Amino acid sequence: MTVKTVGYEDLMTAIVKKQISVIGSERAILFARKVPQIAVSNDGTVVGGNKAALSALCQQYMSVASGVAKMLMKSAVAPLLNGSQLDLPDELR
Amino acid sequence: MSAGSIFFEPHVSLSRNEKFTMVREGSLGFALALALGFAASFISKQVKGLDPLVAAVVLGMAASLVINAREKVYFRLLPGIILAQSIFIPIGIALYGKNLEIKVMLASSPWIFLQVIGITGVTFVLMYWLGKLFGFNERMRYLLGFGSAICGAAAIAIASPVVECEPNDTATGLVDNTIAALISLYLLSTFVLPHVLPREYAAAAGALLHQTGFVKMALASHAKDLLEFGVVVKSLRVVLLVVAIPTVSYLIRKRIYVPWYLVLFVVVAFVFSYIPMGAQFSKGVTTFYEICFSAALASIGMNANVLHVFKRLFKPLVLVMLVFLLDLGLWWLTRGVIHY
Repeated sequence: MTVKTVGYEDLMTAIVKKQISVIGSERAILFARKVPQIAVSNDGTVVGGNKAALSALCQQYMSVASGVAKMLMKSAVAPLLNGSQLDLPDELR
Repeated sequence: MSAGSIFFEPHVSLSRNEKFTMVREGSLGFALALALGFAASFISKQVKGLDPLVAAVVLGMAASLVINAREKVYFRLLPGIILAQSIFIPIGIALYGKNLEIKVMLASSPWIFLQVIGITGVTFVLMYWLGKLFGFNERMRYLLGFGSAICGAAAIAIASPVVECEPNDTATGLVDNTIAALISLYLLSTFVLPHVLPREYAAAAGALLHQTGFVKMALASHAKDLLEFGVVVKSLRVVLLVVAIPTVSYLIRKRIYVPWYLVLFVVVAFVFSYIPMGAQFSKGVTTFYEICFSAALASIGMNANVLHVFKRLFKPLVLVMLVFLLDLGLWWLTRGVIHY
């Protein structure tokens, strides 16, 4: 049985999909597409990117509602981080 | 998997500063949601038959016309909208258990309960399958399923944090559920009532109508015991939340999740059914629950884009009504074997 390793793409996808459920797909994807290193599909799936892109994505959402955005993003990635060795940006620590 | 992860979302650690920022940012939107909740509760007492939860959504959506007109205003209020939902929905759900009269439900015929379970299950399946043909995404199909199968506005509010639909979809579901309830009430009273016994009509109203307020409206001109019977049948659908929520949560999240407030919902139901409470205390709890839930629904309305919602009302409404008609057919086929 192969266990899928969680990557930065998975974290970013989880964050964007969480934001879609809160602020709607139009706004959530608009913010996500401002991050240059990633491609975001209409359902919120993120392709590409690294720790810096993840940090930039977090900054985008925190630019409008920092406290709540941080809580939402942390709650979105929390289920994925169990046992993960990924180096997280400051915004998610 | 720890026991805690079954009942609680994964823990998110926030520093003291982060918590303080959240409260500071959220206070305005939170206060507005609470004010609209109070207003909805007050207005519903003035207008006969108006469900406070429906009034709350309408007020929230009216406010959203102003809120969504400017991005700056929207994001200023958004933290409070989220805070209101995260606080009031669990409280509302837990106290909603007060509406279940466990003793009366247990005294109901098991055949009626089986019929309700059957119709509820079929409703979810039909909504999921037909909704796919209509082109709706999975989460919207589940949300509409909750609204039709279980209990209308309250069920949609309860399911929304589990299903995690887009805010516009949740608001669309709420509005369509109310419109469908109105149309269904007309259909039942015009085409079913003349052909069935009064108790059968009460059972149909309880088993099929989308909102408790409409069940009461359908039976308002009938004897008191029929009204009570119809509400009990409706309650049998509500109690199925304890199965529906974990099931849908598992289908979406691929993990077992029974929200802690759903457990409290059951506890509250038993407490209020079996422990005598003073009338004043009971009334106070009802008012508190009504305001909490109304504030939660107002915050859902506040987060919706009204124009977007009204442009997309028709297709989900057609789906909801189609499922209602199929449910009615199922009820009609099975009514003959049940002694109401």
